[in-house]
Amino acid sequence: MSDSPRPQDTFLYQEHASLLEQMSDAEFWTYAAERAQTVPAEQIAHDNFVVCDLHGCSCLIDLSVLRAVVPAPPRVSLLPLAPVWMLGITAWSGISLAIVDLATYLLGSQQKSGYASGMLLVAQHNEILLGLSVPVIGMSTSIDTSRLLEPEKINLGFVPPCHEAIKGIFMGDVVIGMDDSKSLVLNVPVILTDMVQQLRMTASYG
Amino acid sequence: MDELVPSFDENELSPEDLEVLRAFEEKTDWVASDIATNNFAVSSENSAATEDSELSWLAIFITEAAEDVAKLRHALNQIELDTHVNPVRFTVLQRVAHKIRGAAGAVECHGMATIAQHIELVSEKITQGTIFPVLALQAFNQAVSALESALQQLATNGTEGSLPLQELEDQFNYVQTFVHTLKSPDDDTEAQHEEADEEPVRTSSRALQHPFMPFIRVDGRRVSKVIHYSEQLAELRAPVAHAQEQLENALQELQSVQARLRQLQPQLSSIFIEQNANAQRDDLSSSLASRILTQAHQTRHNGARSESTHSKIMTEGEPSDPARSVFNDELNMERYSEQDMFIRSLTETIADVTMASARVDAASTMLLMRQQEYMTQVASLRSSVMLLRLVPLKTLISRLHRAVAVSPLPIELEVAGEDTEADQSILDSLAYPLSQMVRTCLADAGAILESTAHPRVWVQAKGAGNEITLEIGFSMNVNGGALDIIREPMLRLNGTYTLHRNAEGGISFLLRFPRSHGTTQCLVVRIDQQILLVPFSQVARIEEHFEHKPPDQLYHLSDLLGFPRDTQLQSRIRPMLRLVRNAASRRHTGVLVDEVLGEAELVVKPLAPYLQRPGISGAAIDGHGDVLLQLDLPELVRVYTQHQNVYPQSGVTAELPTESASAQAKPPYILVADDSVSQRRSLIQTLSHAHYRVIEARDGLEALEKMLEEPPDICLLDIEMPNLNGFDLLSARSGYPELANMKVAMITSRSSDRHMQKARELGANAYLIKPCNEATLLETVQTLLDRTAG
Repeated sequence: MSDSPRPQDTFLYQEHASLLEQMSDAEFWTYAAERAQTVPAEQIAHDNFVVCDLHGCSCLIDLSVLRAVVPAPPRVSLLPLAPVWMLGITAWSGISLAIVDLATYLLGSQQKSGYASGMLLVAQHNEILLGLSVPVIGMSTSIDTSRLLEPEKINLGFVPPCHEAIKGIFMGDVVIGMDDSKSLVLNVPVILTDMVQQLRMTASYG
Repeated sequence: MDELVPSFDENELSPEDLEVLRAFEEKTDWVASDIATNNFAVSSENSAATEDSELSWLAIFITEAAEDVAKLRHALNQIELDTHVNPVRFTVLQRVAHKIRGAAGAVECHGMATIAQHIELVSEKITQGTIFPVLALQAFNQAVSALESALQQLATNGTEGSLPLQELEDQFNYVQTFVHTLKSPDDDTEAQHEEADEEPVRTSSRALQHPFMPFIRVDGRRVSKVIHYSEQLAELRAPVAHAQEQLENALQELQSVQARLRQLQPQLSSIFIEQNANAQRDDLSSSLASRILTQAHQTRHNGARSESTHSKIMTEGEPSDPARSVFNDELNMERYSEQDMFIRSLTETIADVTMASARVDAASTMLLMRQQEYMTQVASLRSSVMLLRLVPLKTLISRLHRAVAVSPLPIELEVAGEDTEADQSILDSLAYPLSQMVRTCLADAGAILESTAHPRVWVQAKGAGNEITLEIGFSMNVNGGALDIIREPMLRLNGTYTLHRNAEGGISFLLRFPRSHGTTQCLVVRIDQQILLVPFSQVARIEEHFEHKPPDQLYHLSDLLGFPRDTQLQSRIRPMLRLVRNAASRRHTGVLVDEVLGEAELVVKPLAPYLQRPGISGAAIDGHGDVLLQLDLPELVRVYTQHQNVYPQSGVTAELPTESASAQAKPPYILVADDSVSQRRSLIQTLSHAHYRVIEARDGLEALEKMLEEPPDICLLDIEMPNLNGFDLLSARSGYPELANMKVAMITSRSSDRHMQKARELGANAYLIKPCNEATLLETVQTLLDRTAG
């Protein structure tokens, strides 16, 4: 084995390229043969999430379900016979988009939040398109979804609005500065489906 | 499986299916052979045996056909899930349809055989690529539904009925592509074929919404206009671009002049600094030596000045500085100090700025003019494009002609206003329901002929703005069930329907629907912070609170919508929208708003299904990017009054007519509507003995008239009645806010769950099955009255 430092990671970054350049031919081919014979580790699932702070509750939303992240509109139009967590309707990309207060929906507050504030996450699942109003969002982050804890194993402090609304709990810091020893990974497709169902029910029964 | 397009061969049926088909064909051969050899002796024993044999074959056919129809449905579901056209799947459809056709023909179910034949023909067309996939899929779905319906009737009644095939052919007539598939040598629809050739091609509204939109025919003159406006629009592009360019040049020029102005600024600063410094230096020259030198310099300076009054150059530093003497211009030219140079530059630059600004203004004005011309041309082009889709109502009325023609009654449809134009897709969506409606009304030919020897049916169409009014009138009593057919199509179009007794003593249905999709003219109103739209067609006038006779019912829009009220405006006079009154209704309704902001013409689109609410007919996006909900005020009022008391909160109540005390003490008033005299008399007797005030109606139309004269507390409705059946009355009730509080109990011999479910969906409060004993009847009435009082 040579004394040259060797790249440890699977991914080739700039410093790894430099290390490879420093190797002699013999060292390089020896290294290549060793890597070829190495059984690859299981591919770890890393999905990208956006971090949201829902009044002190840290939540992670899968970026793949989001169409856009935009500032919350200054005004919304009220819709009659709407659930308490529905803020109203706004225009987005030429269509009428319903805006819901994600914190009120998830945490079960009975008070209506008033106009949307913070940021608006435009989420889509199949034909359902809804705007999720969140007070604060952080940066996007990548987490290993195989390490999520089941929601039943931890006392959340509230009752989720529907079964499987929370995909799991991520234990670890996702954003510096937030007290986020645990973050809720939200199951947005399930949440959107439940919201639409409740919207239909309130139209029928008030 | 072979992915190439296979041609259909009967031998490709599965062995089991082939066996079944052969068996049915042999059964047909046996019968034919017996007849040919005169072995078919007509005797009671033989006929009984034959009948048993026929029933056995029918039972076998029903079993086999049920399985085959299920296969067809499964295959269709697979096709709908496919992302591309897979010809193999259509071959499956063709195989199964072929089997059904053969078997159905053998048991003399010719309707089902014809439907199966249509499926085969459509399968052939799609595998040949001569039909759009979306049309074929639509046709398959319709045909399979028709098969299911026919099979159900066969299983229930022993006969397949003619309605499934008839309805299928009517639906196929939507899309002219199928017209030729319907023609068989024995078909007596040659007249339809000729007529179809004369009509321009139409498409179903559903097809128009699909990306694979079939072709449509349009008026060539209108296409020429569209081309003409497009060309004019293209010609305007150059002047607009030129005006834009002029403005850009003027702006650039202005910018460069402004840059020059900015460059002068340091010079200005240095001059002011110099002047200040000079002034300071003058102040500081207080020493004797300085004064002497200054005096000497001034003496010399005055001497030089007397020699040349025009040569005076101010040098840098102080004029008293002896080291800097005035420059003598021996040629006597004007001498300019730096300050003079600066002033001149500044003056010129300011002039240039002024000129450049003027050029910018001029260029901007020119651009605005060109843009306005452009927008005017765009509006003309848009109007002409919208006109492309308009066709005369005669295309719809021809369907009504056919519907009347197939009736055994000696009637000819009288038509007025058939040249009124409307959007093709709107007419297409109404053609089938209206023809079904006419057929339904004329279904009971015998009863009609008993009532009148010369029945008349007429259609009158009028157009005003973006609204079409269509009256379908009958001079006699007709079969009920018409409103049930047109309710959904009219709702989808955001149209309205009413009915009344006409001058001939019969019934007229009045339909109002938009002429075309597109922009809607609306009133823009405000309640609190919310801006909303109200279609012009719903508002008779705007009043500043009871300018005219006070309305019978008055509401605040905030209450109707359940929105918070602007409490600061409680005492302020609010504008009131007086709603357009329903033709047969006697009540005036007013709705208060906080402010009427003006009018707008906007494109209103339906909300997503989960956002749809009663009384909200759509939403538009205004120029600020805000969503404005469009209201259906009559529907809002109806829904509100179903859940609330009729009269609104105090502050307004005092200004409305109130019921007198004697009126409030009247016994409960019940209306009994039944076409059976004996049934009516029995109910009246029972209720009168229970001290209720009872009135009767012989048919649905008379019941509606009596309801509107004096809304009853409870209405006992039969289902099957002339003119309007019970379900029609329940539907019609929604158009009359004064009937919102009326309780309805159906009293009918129809005991199926389907009828009960339908009655419930239409808003019935109770369902009684005849014969109904007195105790049950009275208990039900009392319960409904208690609910009303509660």
